[in-house]
Amino acid sequence: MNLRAENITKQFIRKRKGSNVMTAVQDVSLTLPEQGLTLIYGHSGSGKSTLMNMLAGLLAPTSGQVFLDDTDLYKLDDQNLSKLRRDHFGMIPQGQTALHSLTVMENVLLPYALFGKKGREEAETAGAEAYARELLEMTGISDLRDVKPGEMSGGEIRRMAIARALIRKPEFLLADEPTADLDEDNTKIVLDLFQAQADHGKSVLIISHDPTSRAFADTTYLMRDGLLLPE
Amino acid sequence: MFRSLPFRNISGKPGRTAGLLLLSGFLCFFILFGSLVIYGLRSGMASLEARLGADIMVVPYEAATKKDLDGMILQGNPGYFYMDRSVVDKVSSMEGVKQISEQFFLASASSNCCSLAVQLIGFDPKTDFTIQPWVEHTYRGELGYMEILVGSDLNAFAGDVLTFYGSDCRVAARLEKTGTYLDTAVYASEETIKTLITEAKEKKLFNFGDVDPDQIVSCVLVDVADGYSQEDVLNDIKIHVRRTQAVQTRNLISGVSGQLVGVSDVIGGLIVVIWFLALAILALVFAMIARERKKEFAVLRVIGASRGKLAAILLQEALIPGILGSLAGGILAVGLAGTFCQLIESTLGLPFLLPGIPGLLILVLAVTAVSVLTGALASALSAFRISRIDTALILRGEN
Ligand SMILES: Nc1ncnc2c1ncn2[C@@H]1O[C@H](COP(=O)(O)OP(=O)(O)OP(=O)(O)O)[C@@H](O)[C@H]1O
Ligand SMILES: [Mg+2]
Repeated sequence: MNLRAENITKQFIRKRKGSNVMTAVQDVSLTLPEQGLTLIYGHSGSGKSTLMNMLAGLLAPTSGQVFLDDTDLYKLDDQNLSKLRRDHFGMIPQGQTALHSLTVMENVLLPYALFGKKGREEAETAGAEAYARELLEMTGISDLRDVKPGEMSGGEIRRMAIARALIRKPEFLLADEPTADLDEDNTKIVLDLFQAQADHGKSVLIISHDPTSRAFADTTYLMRDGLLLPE
Repeated sequence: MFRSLPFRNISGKPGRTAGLLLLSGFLCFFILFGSLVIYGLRSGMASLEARLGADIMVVPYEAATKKDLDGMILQGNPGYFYMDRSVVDKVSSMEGVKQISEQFFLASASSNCCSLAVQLIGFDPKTDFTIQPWVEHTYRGELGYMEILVGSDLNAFAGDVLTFYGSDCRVAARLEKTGTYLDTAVYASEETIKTLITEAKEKKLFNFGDVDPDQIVSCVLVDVADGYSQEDVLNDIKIHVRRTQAVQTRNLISGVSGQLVGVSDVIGGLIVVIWFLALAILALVFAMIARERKKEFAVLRVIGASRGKLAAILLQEALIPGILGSLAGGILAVGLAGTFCQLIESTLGLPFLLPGIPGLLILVLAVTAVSVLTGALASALSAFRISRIDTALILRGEN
């Protein structure tokens, strides 16, 4: 499978001197390979998150198209686009994204619990739970399994979001500044985890300012003023 | 794996859930209690209308002017008044009178069933056309000498023996509830009541002067023949039968009916106001909750929930406390209305009859449904609004 953007542009209406249209992403084309780790970096406000949201099926471009193989994401209705998102994408959005009434374990299992079929095999459920524990282990928050997000640090919540994005073993992992509030050690752990995903046939797209992430990337792009420049 | 997300969100926020429970409970309680009061008054009045049965009542002049009649029939205050028996013949000879029947009233406290005085009503089984038709539901057969029928509010049952003015009367049957003065009354044949009057006189408990029971009646009930106007017959009686007051039962009731319409309009208006208020408050609460939880909803969208799924989760979160709260409020309303219906009756001074179990169930279900739907409607507004916003925009909004 490949995910590609063809000449996508996103404009926002915004009060500004002169024109009131601001172009956040301008005529970007990008193909994520079936496998490998892709990195985008760039200044704040250069349009990175906007681009990723469009790739993730969360924000319709002003012009241009996003394809998953032959499927034009934004020609799908909400139901089918949502299904495509949950079946193929794992996303770690920028900022804190926790459900506060659920424990860490439940947060991680949520994508699985929410869309599971009714008469699901016990073995399958057990498998998901085991995988969730494994992910918590790998991200170093297995002690917090039964804790609620209200009692956790920013970096811990971030790692929980990473585990949640991985639980359904998506083909595409889209991570918007996944290491923003992590220390060096944890940054390394997370990047290793992403690399392992890439090595196992997944496609990983990371937005990051972190210089350490450069070393992990197979392909790197620079984003500047809405334009995507290969490096 | 773990209990459904709506459940977790509900139990995870006890304060918020308690608030929603209270709100919907309050809403359901008020609508149901109000509806029960309106219903009780309406059917009380309908029941009274049906039970009175006669077109015209002829009573002693003093009875009507002293408001004894109103007090007795509408509020159920025991009372008695008498006029000369000759009235019966005079009235029956009037043109347009189809059938008549006389009744005797007596009040007595000296009974072993009841703390308050009860109204004793004597009727002539041969001519009676108002009491027997509805008594037949519960009691068939002739009411023998010194046998009585008791209203449903009296603490006496078939086979019991009640004592009035020292005379024992056997209870033949207990009547079904009417919500009117008839519920606190005791019925007996003319002969029985005459005996009781005689007893009362002998014991000097009777302070209506020296009257001969055989020469008096308390009221004459008139059924007007088809083809005659009630007003004409009424006027004829007024002109020709002196020292009496003829009352059209329809008028007797219409005065109260007006009062009833007033009371139920006020309650109905209150219900509407409370409903709107609750809808507005609930909508506001849900909008606030939605704003506070925007980010959580965005997360659900990110992990692949469709708009429909998101709306379904929000609706469930609103419905569960809505249903529980409404049921609790509904049960409380029924309980209170049932416990205090006597008090409501005496406070409003109007006949009051609650529906039977099937009717009550239907009303409870209907009102609970309204209350639950109100909550659902209120939450649907914000569920719809939140599900329309682009997920990416929500995500940035609170970074
Ligand atoms: N909904 C919006 N309305 C108006 N302007 C927007 C909107 N979303 C993004 N923008 C603008 O588009 C530009 C790109 O935003 P974006 O969030 O993609 O930047 P970014 O590269 O992710 O920055 P950062 O590194 O700070 O996260 C910014 O100038 C931003 O102000
Ligand atoms: Mg960003």
